[in-house]
Amino acid sequence: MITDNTVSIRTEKLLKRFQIDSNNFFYAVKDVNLEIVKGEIVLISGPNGSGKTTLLSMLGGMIKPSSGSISVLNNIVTEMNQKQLTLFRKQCVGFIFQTFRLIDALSVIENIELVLNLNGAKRPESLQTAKSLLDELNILQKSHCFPEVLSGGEKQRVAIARSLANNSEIILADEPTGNLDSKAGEDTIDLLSKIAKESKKTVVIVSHDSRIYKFADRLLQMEDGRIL
Amino acid sequence: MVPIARRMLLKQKSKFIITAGGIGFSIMLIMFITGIYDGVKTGATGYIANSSSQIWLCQKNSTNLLRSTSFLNTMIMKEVNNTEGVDKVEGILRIISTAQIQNKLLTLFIFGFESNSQLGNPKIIQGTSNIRDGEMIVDKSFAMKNNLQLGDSISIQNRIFRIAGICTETNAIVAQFSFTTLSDAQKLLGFPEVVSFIMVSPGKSSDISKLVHSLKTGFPSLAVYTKNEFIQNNLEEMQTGVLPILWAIGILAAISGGAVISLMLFGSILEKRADYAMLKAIGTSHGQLEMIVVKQSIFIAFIGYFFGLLLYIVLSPFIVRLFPEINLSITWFAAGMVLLTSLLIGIIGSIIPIRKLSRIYPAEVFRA
Repeated sequence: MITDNTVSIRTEKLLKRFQIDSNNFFYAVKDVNLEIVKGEIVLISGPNGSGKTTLLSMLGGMIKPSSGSISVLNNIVTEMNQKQLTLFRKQCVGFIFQTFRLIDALSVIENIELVLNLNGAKRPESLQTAKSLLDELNILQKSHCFPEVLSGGEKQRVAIARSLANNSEIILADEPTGNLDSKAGEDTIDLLSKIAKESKKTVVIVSHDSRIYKFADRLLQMEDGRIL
Repeated sequence: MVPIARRMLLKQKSKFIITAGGIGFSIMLIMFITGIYDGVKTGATGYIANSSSQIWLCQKNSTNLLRSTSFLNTMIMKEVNNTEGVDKVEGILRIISTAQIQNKLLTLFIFGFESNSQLGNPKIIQGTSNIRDGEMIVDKSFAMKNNLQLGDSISIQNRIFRIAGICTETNAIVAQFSFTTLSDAQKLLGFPEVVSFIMVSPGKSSDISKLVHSLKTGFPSLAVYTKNEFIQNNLEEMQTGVLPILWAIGILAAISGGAVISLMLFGSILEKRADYAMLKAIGTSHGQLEMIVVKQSIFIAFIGYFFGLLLYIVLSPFIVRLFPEINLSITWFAAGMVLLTSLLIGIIGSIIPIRKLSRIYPAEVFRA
C-alpha cells in the first residue's frame, strides 16, 4: 500500500483533448492513472505523438487537463489558478528541456542565479549557491561563459544545474539527451540520476532514447495517449 | 536580480542601436519644438521684459504688441506724466510697412521710440540704440537672414534708412522687430502726434499697484497693464498662433518615438518567444515579465533621450544659421520635461509588446 506521504505524483483519469474543428477532437492523453513515489526515477517512453510531452506539461502545471486530476506533493495541481500554477512551477518543479533553453544573453552562472533570484535569493547568496551547483556538475570553470560557446553536453549540465537551483523535490525532463551525442547523453543522464539518487529527488524523464532505460527505476510505455 | 532586461536588450546590439537612434531623432524633434517654443517666449516678450517700463498703457481692448491696434494722441502722455507717482513716460508707435532690401520686398514690424530713450530702447548687441532720424535698428535674426550689417540701407516708402544697431530678443518668429525714431515712424504712418503704447516708469517710492489703480481711474478709456500682465498677454497671443502647431508636431514626434520602441520590442518578443516561454515555465510571473519589457522600453527611451540631446546640441547651431528666424532657446526645466516625456514614451511604447507577452504560453518551451 502506498501512502500519501510517499507519493510524489499521482494522476487519476487524466485526459487532455484538443479541438480540431467544431465536431472533432484529438485526444493527446487518455485516462492516465499514475503514481510515482518519492525518489523514483521514471522514464516515459513511446513514439512521437504518443502524448509524452503533453503529459509532462500537465504534470508541470504548464497546461490544464481537460478532465481528471493531478496531485503533486499533495498539491492538487488541477485546482490551481494561473497565479498558483506559476508559484507551483517556481517552487515545486525543476525543468530540463531537449533544446536546453538557456538564456543566450546571460552567462552560465547568471542562468542559474535567475532561478534563485525568482525564488527570493539575493546576491551574494545567489552567486554562492549558483557556484556550488556548477561545481557539483563539474562546470564551474565555464561559469562566466555565455551559452553560445558551450558544447551540447555542457549546456545540458547547466540546464540540470538550473533545474536543481530551486531545490524542488521533482525534476521533469523532456528528451534531455535528444540534442546530445551518445557519450554526452550517457554522461548527462548518469549525472542526473546520481544527483537525483543522492538528494532523493523524483525524476520524470520523457524520452525514446533506449540508453536511458538502465538509469530508470521504472519504465512506462505510452501510445496513443495511454500508458500501456 | 540578474539584469536580464538590459542583457536581453543589449544582446541584439544592432536592433538596439537602430531603435535608440530612432527614438533619438524623435526626441531631437521634440527638443527643437521645445527650443522653438522657449525661443518664441523669449522673442515675443524679451522686448517688454528688457524695458525699464513697469506699466504699459494702450487703447482699450488692445492687449499686446504684435496683433492688436492702438493709436493714442501724444497729448495723453503729458496727462499720464502729471499723475502722482509717475517718474517717466515715453511713447512707442508700432507700424507695419513694406520695406525693400536688396530688391526684395519684406514686411517689417517697426517700432518708433524716442531718441535718447530710457524705456523703449531694445537690447543692442552691435552698434547703438541712440539712433537719429534716418537710422534704424534691426533684429539679429532678421539681419542674418537678409545679410544685413551695420551701415547697410533699407528702403521704406521711398525713404532710405541706414542700419545703426542690431538688437536681440526681438524675434517673435512670425515677425522680427525693427526700430526707428518715433518721429520717423510717425512720418511713415502719416500721422504726427500719435503713439501706440505709453510706457510708464514709476517713481522710486511709488507703489506700482496703487499707480496702476490711479491710472485706470484717471484714464478709463485706456487699457493699463503691469509689465508682467503685458508680458503674459503677449505670450498668450503668441501661444494661440504658434502653440497648436508646435503641439501637433511634438505629439507626432512622440507617437513616432513610441511606435519605434513598440515595434522593436514587439519584434524582439517574437524573436525571443522561446526564452519568454521558458521564463514562464520556470515560474516567472506575468508581472515580472511585464517589468522586463517596461525596463527595456524605458532603458531605450533613456538612451534615446541622450542621443536626441546630443543631436540637438550638435545640430542647433546649423539650424539657426540655416533658418535665422528660428530662435532656439531651451531651459533646464524644458530639457527635464523632455526627459520625462521620453520616459513616458517608453512606458506607452511597452503596452502593445506586453499584450503580446500575455499570449505566450509556458508549454511553448517544448517546441523544438
